[in-house]
Amino acid sequence: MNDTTIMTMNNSLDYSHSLSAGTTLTTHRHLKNLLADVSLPERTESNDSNIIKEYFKRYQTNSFSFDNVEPSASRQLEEVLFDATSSVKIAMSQVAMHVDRQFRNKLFSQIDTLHDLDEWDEDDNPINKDSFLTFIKGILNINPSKLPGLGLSHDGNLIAAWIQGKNRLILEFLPDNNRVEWVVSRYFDEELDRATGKTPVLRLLDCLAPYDPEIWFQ
Amino acid sequence: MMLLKKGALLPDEDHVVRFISPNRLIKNEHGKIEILPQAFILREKDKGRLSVSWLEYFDGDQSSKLSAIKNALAKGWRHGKLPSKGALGTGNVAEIKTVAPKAKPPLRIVYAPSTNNPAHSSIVNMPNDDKTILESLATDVFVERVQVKDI
Repeated sequence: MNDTTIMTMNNSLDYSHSLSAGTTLTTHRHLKNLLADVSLPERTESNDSNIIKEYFKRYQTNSFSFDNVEPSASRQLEEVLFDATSSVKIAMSQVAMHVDRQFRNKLFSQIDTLHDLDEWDEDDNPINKDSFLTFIKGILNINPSKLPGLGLSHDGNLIAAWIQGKNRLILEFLPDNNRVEWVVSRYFDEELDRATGKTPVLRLLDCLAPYDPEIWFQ
Repeated sequence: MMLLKKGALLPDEDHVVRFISPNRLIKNEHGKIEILPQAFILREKDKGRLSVSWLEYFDGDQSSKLSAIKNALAKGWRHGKLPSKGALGTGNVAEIKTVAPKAKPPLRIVYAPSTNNPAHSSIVNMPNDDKTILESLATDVFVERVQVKDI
């Protein structure tokens, strides 16, 4: 941030144009609080330099950064959900070239639904970005023709589900070490075979092989 | 209205109802809602007891009972209403116990009324780390599901 930017913010209080495109609602609020909190002398040309110095002082002591905004206890639920949605959509854009456009659009639509404020359980955590990245790796590895339905665990882990008749495959993508927890309910000749396990996403298809996973993916 | 003492075991022939958040529901290929096993995972705030409501506490037909439970649960939610895309899943007490026959200590379903919900009950001794048991609850036990918007 340079002096010109700071002056612009002070003069117009409409600082949105000085924020980068990826800046989130939280960043806006943080910046607003930062500015509102500063007790400034009445502005004259002679004390402009003092105002700038004060901004810099506050800027430095708050360790404020546009790239790394600390979460605050007072963050509104709407902002938390907005930020989480933005975060995964930005992450998705980084691998967009590997993903079918139709899939991406459906995925974004489902994430919007998962974070629907009107339906939100306040005890839940929004989608965990690392879980989402594990999901992307898993999807690229499975390369399914049928897209899964999505859910979310209390902890914010993304869940993908394929249901075909009574046969169910539930995958919970974990945020640590690219692992996935799988749950299978699979009927062979009316006999139920139910199993679960945890594995790195790259080994998932090997683990599912005994259950003929094509019924879900193709 | 049935009456039991707090802490009493619910009768095997009775039923309990659990609210399922929209994010723990999934639609099958026919558009019917199904429950994800993660709907039965205990959180830290649950203190080892999975919250349910005792269906037979309330009088009336099934629809009236579910409506009474919906109203009781809504008191604890934001804006006093349950998420409309969530669902109430109903399961039989005896069948709940069969999903973990080897659990030690054994599963118990006890009456535990709360201020907001006089039908509140708890499933105690849930093996939280066994997803096959949670999947069994989701697919074999809580087989009656009604979305909140339809109650």
